Amino acid sequence: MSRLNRRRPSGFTLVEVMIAIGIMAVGSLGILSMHHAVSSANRSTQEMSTAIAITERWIERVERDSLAWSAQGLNTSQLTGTDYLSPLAGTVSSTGWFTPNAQSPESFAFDYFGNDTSAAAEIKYCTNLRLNWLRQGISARVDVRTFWYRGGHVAGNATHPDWVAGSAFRGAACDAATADGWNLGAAPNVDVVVASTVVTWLRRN
Amino acid sequence: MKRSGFTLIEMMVAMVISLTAITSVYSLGSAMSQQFFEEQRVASAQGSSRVAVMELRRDISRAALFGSPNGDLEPTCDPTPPTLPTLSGGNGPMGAFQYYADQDKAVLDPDNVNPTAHADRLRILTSLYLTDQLLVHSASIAGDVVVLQSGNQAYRRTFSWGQTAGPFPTGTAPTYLDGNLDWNSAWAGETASWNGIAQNGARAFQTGSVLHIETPEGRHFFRSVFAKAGNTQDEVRMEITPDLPIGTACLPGAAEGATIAPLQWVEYALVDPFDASEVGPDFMDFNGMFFIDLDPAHPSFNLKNTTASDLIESRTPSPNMVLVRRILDSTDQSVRLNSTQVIAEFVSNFEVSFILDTTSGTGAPSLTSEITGSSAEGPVNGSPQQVRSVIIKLGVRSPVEDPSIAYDATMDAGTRFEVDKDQKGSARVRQMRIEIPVMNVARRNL
Repeated sequence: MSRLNRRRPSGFTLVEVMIAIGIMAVGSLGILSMHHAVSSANRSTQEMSTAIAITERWIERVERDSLAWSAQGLNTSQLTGTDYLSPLAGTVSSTGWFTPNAQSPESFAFDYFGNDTSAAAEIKYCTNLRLNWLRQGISARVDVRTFWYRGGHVAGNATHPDWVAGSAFRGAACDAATADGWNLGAAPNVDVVVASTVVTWLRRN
Repeated sequence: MKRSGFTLIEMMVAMVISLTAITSVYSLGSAMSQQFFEEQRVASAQGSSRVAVMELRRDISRAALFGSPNGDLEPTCDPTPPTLPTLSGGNGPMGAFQYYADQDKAVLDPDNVNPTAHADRLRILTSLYLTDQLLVHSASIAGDVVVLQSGNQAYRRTFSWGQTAGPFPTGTAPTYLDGNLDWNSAWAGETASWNGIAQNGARAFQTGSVLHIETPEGRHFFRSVFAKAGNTQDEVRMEITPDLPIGTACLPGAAEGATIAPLQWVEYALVDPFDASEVGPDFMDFNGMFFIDLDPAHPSFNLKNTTASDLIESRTPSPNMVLVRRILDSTDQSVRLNSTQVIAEFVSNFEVSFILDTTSGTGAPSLTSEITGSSAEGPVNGSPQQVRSVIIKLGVRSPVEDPSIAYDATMDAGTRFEVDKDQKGSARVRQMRIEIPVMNVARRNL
């Protein structure tokens, strides 16, 4: 017996080496995926803070716009001069979500850095407005939502059934109806930030 | 007999394999740490620009609170409207804003290598220290001295004697500006010992402040405080310029019961903190300022609390350009002693734009699109009451450059910034943009 043992060459067999390499590969894949998770979390944070800044900017734009709302009333003539509040004219309660009619350099679409853009290829974030009368002709609540395709979305996780590809998202851009179809907030790879403010008319002498 | 052990070939193969493994782990580690430091730089730039933006937003949104001197709505009854000195010499209308395009560009970018960066200067007439309006007891017959009414709550809040240590011992109530308080020396010694002594009042009514006086008849007068007129311990007197038209049809009586609100003139400017021609000696005397130490012997890229003696800077000009907020004297635009605060360090861009209502007054509203640069100076400085929105773009860069990232002049100022053209590196920039509607200006100037 002992003689047989001694004759057997020492070292690893191919199978042993393969198993060892396999275990190492699994281990290093774990490390790599941790790295991936951390960097996508970073990206999510960056996207979220950019989207919050964009939403805040639109809140302030609408508040500035309300400085041009100079007479109380429900009709177009009272809201003339406003850029973003004019869809309220003739509305009884709420406008529903819509894409604001922004004049350059302002836009409802934003690029990676959170700058206003109107070039379809650069669009990453989209902003929609919804206007609701609080007291008809006097004060209104303004809802602002910003939504975007999550770059930090972890691949392989569930996607929304209505989901199109990230590139198609940019094409469909900021269309409010499409966004409603996506059921924002429930879609795992579309994030949304919502904020509201109240505006009122300002008497002109 | 075969001996156990590895052959040379086995050893070589094992070493090559382990070398490959170690190299890949090492490169993974270094990539992760590089990313970590990059994230830290971005996070610190993001954090400091957020603080700066909060400060700017507060000041700008309070512009014209308690009054806007050149408002179209408010009858002034002044033979000559009040003015403020301008940077180019002479006087301009006293309004909520003054704007100078790229005034500090040479400070921000002495080598002129960052074509997309801006260094504007913004001045705001705003209410800083008080959320109260006070009452006038009376004005002198000549109209050059105003005495405040004491004994009301606003007066007590403003001129309360600061407590040095709380909570108060039993039976000791806070004391106000009456009794045995040496108001004169508190005010006279405001640079050294105002801390805690009637501090709201001493700050708000400093020489160089602007007073908004609204009479019971609804007339508005804007006057500069230019001296303390013999205050006694329970009486606050202020010398003002120019005189009030006491006893005329505009201002019958002695202005009794008029409200009075102090306004301060705040300036945002980009300065080199090591250049004595741009900051006064009081700037470096300020104990406990926050800064990022670039001293090659003791480099520290963390914000730290320090004293002036720690501020060693061997390079001229300093790579660290700071955005300061300081209070100006409304009579001669000199910087108030001990009023300079650092709002943001390592600033790479400070651009201010405006949206104006060009038919401000009684016409139908008509808002311009965003204007900035030299074409905005005229409209803003000439008609500050037309401003409806102030848009700030603030870029803050990381303190260190990454030499592996070459600077590309065509790139947006929002991403990279070259600090020193001989160094061939580029620093990471975090850009913020806020748009502040100025409600108070609009309400007073329709």
